[in-house]
Amino acid sequence: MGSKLVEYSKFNVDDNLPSLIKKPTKIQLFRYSAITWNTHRIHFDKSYAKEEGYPDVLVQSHLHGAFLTQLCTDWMGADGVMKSLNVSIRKYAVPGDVLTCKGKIKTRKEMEDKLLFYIDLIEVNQNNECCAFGEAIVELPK
Amino acid sequence: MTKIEKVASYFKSLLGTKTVSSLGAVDSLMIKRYALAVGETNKLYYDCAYAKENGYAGIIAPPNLLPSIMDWGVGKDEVDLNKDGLSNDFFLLNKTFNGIRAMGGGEEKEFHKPVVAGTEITMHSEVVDTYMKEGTNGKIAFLILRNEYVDQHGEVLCICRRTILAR
Repeated sequence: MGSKLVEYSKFNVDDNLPSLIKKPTKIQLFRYSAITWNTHRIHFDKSYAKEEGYPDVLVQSHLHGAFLTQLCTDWMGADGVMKSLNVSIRKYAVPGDVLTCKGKIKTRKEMEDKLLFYIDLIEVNQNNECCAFGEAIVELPK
Repeated sequence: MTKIEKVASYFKSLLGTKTVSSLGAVDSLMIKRYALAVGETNKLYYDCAYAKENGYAGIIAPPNLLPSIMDWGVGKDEVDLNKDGLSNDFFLLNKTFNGIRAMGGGEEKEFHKPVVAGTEITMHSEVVDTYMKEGTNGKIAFLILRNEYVDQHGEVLCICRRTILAR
């Protein structure tokens, strides 16, 4: 734990979080709809998704949010606490897409006994198109 | 009045509406299944001993779990679902607005306390704002919901400000 605390104190504004790659599958989308009790056909019925003008079933908006959440929680480790998360969806994603989640520290605040990191988040697909973006605030012990 | 203006007027009539829903317990199986579904491998979500070593009372839920549950209840009979599979309750639109598409427009979440397996959840929901904007393809009606999730002791777990848009 001691070595991790030293590591976190070295992070500064403009530092990048290690990126996270997600490759959504149809099984994943099915499981996600099941556990969130989401009956929206656009996430499991390809013929319906095509009627709506999409090439395939769509990744759920909260699943995009979960990917960006994991980007932060993987980086902060067990010592960290996520304080807030804002997410907006810009473009749909489908199974087979390769989604890269990236984060950059935009603000670092040093409190008496903790560090607060404000992180800009983005998720892009294999064509470098933005699928989701947002911001997170992560607290780490000092 | 155009259909979207009627939707905006309907949204305005909902302003200030408050509901309280008892959502039941978030148990360890739900947490583990959710974590697996999103592709998480963090031991805090699966391994009770590890979670306790790190100061938690048991396994905890990934932060985004509470706002991601679409329906906390049993759900509606299939005959009461629309063609898209959703019920009219979902985006607060009733059947008179056929042809209007409603969708999520983003969320802002604050996390106040970790959700430990076994926590009983109550959600306090309020319609806090509505407005209309001109989009590239016409007018869009917005509705903002504030959902506050509390535990069995009344302590706040998560506050979620959700934007719903209709066009």
